[in-house]
Amino acid sequence: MKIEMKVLLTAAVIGAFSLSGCASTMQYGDAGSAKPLTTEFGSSDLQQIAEAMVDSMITFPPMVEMTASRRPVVSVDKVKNKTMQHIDTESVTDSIRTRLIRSGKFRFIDRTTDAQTIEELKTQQDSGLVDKKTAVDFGQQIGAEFLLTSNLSEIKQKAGSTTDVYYKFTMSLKNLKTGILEWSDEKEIRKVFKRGTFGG
Amino acid sequence: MNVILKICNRIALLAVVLIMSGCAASSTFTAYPHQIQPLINSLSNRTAIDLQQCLLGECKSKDLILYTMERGRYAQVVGNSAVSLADFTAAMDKIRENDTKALISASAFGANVAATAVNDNAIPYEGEGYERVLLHHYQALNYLKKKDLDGAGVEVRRANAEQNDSLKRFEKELDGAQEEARKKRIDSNSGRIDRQYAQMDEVAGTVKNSFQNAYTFYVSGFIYELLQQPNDAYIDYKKALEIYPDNSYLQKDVLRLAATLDMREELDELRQRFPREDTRFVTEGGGGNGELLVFFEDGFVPQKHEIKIPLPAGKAGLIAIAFPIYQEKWSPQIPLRVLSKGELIGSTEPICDVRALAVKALKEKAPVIATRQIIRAIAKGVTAAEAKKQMGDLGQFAAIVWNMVSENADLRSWLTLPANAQILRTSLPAGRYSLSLHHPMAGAVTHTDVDVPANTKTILHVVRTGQQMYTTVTTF
Repeated sequence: MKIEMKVLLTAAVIGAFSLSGCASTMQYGDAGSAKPLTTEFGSSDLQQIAEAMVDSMITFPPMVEMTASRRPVVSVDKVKNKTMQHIDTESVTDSIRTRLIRSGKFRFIDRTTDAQTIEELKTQQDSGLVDKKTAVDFGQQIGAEFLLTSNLSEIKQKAGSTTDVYYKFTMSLKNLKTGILEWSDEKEIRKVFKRGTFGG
Repeated sequence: MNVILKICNRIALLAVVLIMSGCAASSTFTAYPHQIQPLINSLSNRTAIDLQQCLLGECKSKDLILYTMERGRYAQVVGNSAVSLADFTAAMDKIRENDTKALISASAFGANVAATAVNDNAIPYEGEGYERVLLHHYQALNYLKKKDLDGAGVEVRRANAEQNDSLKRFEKELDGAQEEARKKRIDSNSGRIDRQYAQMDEVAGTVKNSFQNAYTFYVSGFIYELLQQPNDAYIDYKKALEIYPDNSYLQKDVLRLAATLDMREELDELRQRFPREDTRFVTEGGGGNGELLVFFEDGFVPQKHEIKIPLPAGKAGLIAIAFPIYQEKWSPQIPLRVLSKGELIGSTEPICDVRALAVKALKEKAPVIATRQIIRAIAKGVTAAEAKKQMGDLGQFAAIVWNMVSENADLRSWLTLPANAQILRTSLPAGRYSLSLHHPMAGAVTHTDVDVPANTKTILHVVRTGQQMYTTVTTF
């Protein structure tokens, strides 16, 4: 009888804990998971944009033709953030650049590490530590042939309890010698948030 | 018997007072302005406050939005941008959380019940429209000081969106209050209240509504200019000019951009509206010149006071209802004169009267406050009558005492804001200037060194708090 009571009590306690739902949970998620949590710009939006831009660029017929025999050198400009959110735009360009490099069709110049490069070259040239034969000279880097520029804008509309947010990402590849835009595309993302009626 | 009753009454009163004092830490029972006075004193007397220890508990309370805005503004004025940035971000996060919360939420429902039983201070502070706009505005200034133009751009876009949202939200709130009053058959336009508020009309009349703020439009326009988006800048300068058509710096900026953007028709129209003797604006900023912009923020926004209006409530006798009101005498805005080597460079001109925005916001909210007050007065009257039925005279007395003591007006508002804002914009030959800032209300002339390099824009942000002047310089 006593033992039965104890078992019952333990079961009740376990039941209470599992019902309470207060236990925090943690799990791995898919970076490209399509389920949006808020109308804010999130990780899956970033992935979608990077994917769409890269696919569009490497399948564009003139691009396919141009990259068939050589790998042009491209420089990436910062994304112009025209949204109402503080977005790490560098991370957007990083994703796009990484995918383009992995496609094996383009080569890139990274201007963000120029300061460190200059420092290193100075050391190689002036410190006397480095063998002159192997020291890298200034003025030997390759100039970019193309400039990749992009723009991210946002239109937000609120009506009643519904918030409608529209993001547009535009990217262009400019030929630096001729000034011609060789390729351009845009990706649109729309998110609709409806405020719940009941909740905590 | 009577003597015993009297003694009992005294004990009851004492008990009520003692119970109250236990809650003194929150604004439900202590007038809010008293809690912020140390910050205001510290700014006015330039005495240091340890920001790490300041308002720690309050910044986690239900009024988080209000306290973090106060501390953020304080930190910004004394030059601690990092703390200011973090505090403003915390306030914005909470506002966003509130805005996406379910319409009927358990926590908000609880607060409203408490507000009906106690007073309006029990409702978590959500920030008035003009405060939310200024929150983004000041955050933009924090980003400018960090030289993060992208960040500043994001904040001014948010500020502009907030100016639009505020209008919509206000209209909805007003409808809601009227609806509730109709349901409960209450006339919220009580004559007694309107009479008290009439005296605030003088200053409230100077603004159209409580959210359209030309200073924010101007800063927004300026940031767009820095971002090389002259078209967006032109639109915001024009919006600011609509609100302050007499500001000569605004007139110049609008004319200059209309010329730069080659808007011929609009330019002709503007030239007719604002005939200027000098037509230098077209060439201004060119050659070896640099631009100097002065953002001058003067004084402190007024504090709300409480008035109690007695209201007869049937059997329960008189019930006091407490109202927030602005009682200050309205002084005109005094310009800041900027001199270099004894020669006048220029005087600032008004671009925003924050006092008027605050007063207008209160006036707009008056019907909502009145409705809630009257519902509460009736609820409290019912409680007192019930107390009499259950516990006799002693019970009724205790209930009336509770009603009187607990009836406090909601005096909460962002108090470290300036009373008004003024601007000055001029083009100067490049060089180093030793500027002296003259203002009759300041204790002494303030001297500050400003570098104005060629083809740049230099911002001099001046905040006057009592006799003190705080200055910061940022060059783009």
